[in-house]
Amino acid sequence: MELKIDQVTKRYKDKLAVDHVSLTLKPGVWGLLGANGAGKTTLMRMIAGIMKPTSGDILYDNLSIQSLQGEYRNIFGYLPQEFGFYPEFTVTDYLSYVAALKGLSKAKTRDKIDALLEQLTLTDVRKKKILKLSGGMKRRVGIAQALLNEPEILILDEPTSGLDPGERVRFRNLLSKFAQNRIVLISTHIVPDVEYIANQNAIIKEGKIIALGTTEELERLVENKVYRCTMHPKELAKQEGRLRIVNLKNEEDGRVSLRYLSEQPMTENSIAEAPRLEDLYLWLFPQEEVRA
Amino acid sequence: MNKEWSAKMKKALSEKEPADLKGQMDRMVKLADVQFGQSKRKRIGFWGLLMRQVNSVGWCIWGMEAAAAFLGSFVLGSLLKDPYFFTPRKIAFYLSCGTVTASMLLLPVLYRSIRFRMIEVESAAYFSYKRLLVSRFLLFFAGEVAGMGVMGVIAYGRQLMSGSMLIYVLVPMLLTGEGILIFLKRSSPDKLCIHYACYDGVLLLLLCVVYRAVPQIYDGKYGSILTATGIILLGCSIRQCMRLIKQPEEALYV
Repeated sequence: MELKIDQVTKRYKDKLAVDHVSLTLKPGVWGLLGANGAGKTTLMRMIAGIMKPTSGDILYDNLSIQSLQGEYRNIFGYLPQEFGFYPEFTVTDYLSYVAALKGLSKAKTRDKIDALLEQLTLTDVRKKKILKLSGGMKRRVGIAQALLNEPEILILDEPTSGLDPGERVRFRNLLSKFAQNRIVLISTHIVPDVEYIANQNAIIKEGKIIALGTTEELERLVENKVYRCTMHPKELAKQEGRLRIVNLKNEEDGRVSLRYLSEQPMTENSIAEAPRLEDLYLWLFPQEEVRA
Repeated sequence: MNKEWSAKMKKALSEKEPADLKGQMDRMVKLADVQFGQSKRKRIGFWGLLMRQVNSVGWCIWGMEAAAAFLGSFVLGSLLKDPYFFTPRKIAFYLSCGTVTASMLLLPVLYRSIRFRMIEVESAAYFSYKRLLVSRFLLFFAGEVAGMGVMGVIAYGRQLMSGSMLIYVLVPMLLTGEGILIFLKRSSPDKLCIHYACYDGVLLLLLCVVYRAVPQIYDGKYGSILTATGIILLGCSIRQCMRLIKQPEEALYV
């Protein structure tokens, strides 16, 4: 099973949203990282088949998804970044409705809904109207609809926004189990969501893939560029603008502990730190960093 | 076996040996693989989807139509008590206009997916967006026909109008139906409602112009022409509907 994205481009009137992106996705979890406006959602929509590329093609096992049509939609699940619900729907009504759109029989729908509600701890709210659920629960209902047809390819666009840390961990574990022999593509700007579970990550910036590899390979790109130091708060004010700060913490002794990015150590007491994927993300997207 | 896939296979096998035979064979094997995978994932057909739509949205649509029909009957009944309005020509004209106006009830039904941000989830599903709208249209149309039938029986029973008046409801109904099917095929989702509303507006205007210019049309004199028009429209609508259900869909965002 292979999903090949071949030189895909999407141009709007005045903007190139996706610029000659090529990726080959095999079974496992894939992270697509990028800041807001990087082109993640546009790329996800094209992979989901709901947006036509300006040029390039997306191939599932060497067959164009545009020609496969319903057969392709039959085997994938999609959770868009923004999705809503009809106001009169309860959780069960919504999942039954989507199951019908996915072509599932009534018997299969019943069984699948019961199983998913249990997996996603939504059983207690199955008869509750979706509008009355919390943000995290709504997101879980959205994830449930994506899983209804047991997809071979799962496309999730910002799936964890609104989820609390416990829900995030449960979600990661669910995806890890699900991704055996399946392609799971998660787009996010929250690095920890994919850091521990993604087999491969792609980083997208201004519509282009600028880095691709496992978490360890990507972390090596910022090796010897991550430092930790401590300083007096007054000195911190002087360093403002010079340091690209990843993390800032007030210590008990009144000093401030910094984790920052730089080609070279910027203070005498700086110690090199082992890089994390988040460091690479902030290195590539400086606008996301913490301001001193 | 999937008929479409079977037709593709027959066509491929009947062609002359291509230059790239190995490549062709590989593609056919892959198609066969996909087809095998599909047989494991048997899905309900379009009519199965339609039946399931009855529970999710059908009753809402019919409830809305029933309310509109009740209101329409009340208005029409009040008008008919006034001898100024109680002429066959005027009844026919108001029935035509009322039918076109009533068809605008389809607008909120079509717009629901966009309004409640369900459109991406629906487009990414097996049946996809246009087939979903066709199913909603068919439910709406069924409600219209049922409502028209009930009103016709009541009006005929009370001797308010003759059976030939039916043509002044059927033809506008089929015109609006044909219109929506054309727009379903050609309009993008965000423009569909505007296009349909404009189309209905133009139809209403046309009916008024005809009433002014050629009022004899509403006297029942051209019944056979109108009936023939209705039959042609019905045939076109059925054909259009079947094509929409069967044909491959374009992406939601082009």
